[in-house]
Amino acid sequence: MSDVRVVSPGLEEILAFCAREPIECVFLEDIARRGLGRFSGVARNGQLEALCHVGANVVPSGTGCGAFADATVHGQARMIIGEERAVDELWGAVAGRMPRPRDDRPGQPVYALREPPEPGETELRKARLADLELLVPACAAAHREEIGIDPLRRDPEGFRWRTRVQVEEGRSWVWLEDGVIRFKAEASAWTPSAVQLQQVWVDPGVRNRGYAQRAMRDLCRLLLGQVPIVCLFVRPENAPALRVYEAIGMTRQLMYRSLIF
Amino acid sequence: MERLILARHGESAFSARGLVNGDPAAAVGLTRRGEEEARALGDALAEEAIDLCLVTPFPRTRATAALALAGRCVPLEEVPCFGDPGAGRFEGGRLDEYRVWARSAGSREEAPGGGESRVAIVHRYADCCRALLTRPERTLLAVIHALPIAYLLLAREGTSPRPKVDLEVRHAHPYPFTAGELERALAVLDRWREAPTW
Repeated sequence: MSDVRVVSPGLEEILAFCAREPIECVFLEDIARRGLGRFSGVARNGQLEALCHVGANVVPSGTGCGAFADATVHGQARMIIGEERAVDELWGAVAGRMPRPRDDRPGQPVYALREPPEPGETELRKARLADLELLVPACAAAHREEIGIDPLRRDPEGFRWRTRVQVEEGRSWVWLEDGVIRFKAEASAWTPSAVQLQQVWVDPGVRNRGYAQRAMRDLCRLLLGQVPIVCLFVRPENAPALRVYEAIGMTRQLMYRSLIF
Repeated sequence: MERLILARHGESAFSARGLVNGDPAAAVGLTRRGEEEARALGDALAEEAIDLCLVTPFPRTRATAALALAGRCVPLEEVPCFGDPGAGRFEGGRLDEYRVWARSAGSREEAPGGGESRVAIVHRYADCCRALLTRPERTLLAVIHALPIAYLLLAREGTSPRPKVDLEVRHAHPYPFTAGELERALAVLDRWREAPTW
């Protein structure tokens, strides 16, 4: 007979679990390594089979994620996000006990790249604090397009602060032409195994002219010099983005589902 | 300091019953609901790197912080200046009776029985904010009380302290301020302190 129980895993257990799926678990591993996160696990015969961080984001992974229902309901989640089956399982257990999500996004492909693509020959570089005046509106535009909320209306100071922190931590990249940001992207998670990109954005004035592909080539080349894998997830209806990622050699690995409250 | 996250303590035995507690020596703890609220605060802050947590001498703030930060290595420090007002003879009595007095009393009038005046309270909160702005830690969490949070939220919008605070400060809910926002709120409190309007 197997012994299944909900546990509070230690860092070593969390890292061992994440190492099995370093792309899927890049966010979980990143916050665990930074000493953040609130983790619960499901252990069968002492072996972790599922892991969940319950914070502003609820991020389940593995099998048996319905066990995280109570923790999810008691939290103040803005989003449930993770591998699609894990989210399905958790949402199945909590749907009647939580508010209706503002948005439900199933089937979001997660792409990954291990080999550096051909150079894009751009002037892409790490963002600097001097770029902040240009960067904040670009990041806000990306946030609006991605989440549907204008962060400069809701929390301008906080958004500016968070953008600055990303720059200071070296997790933000830009390509400027004539003093205009043509492309920008940030790392949302970074582990020794993988870096996850988010909010990849191209100046609307130059879209469909190859800027995204060239910049992504250079950004991935840069990052693959530091980590083995670059990954990201994207909305399935964003056809131009899918074309860019596939053109530079990224391949689909799994699906995410996100529920936004 | 670059960022200050203010949070009211979880529901206490007194706040659940609408009673005044301005004396930190009184052993007023959290209710069961307050404990759940404190854990939920921990969830809400789980992805935030917090360098220091501030509490007041009131046990309900320390208990909230302990539950919210359980399992994390965040140092704790006491800041008496953010404590609830000394309520004098209203201590342990009904909160609505204290409020009736507070709305009718002059700014410099102390609560009968050795309590604090409104000017003294705002003075104390303003000095507390000024001290926080000089802290070397980047992100602070302050688990404090409804009144200073309400004053600061209003002041951030340019509104001075007023007799009736039509603003619900939720138990154990995070209210983040950047240093710039805190400075602006502080300027509003300072202006009011120099020329109190009620």
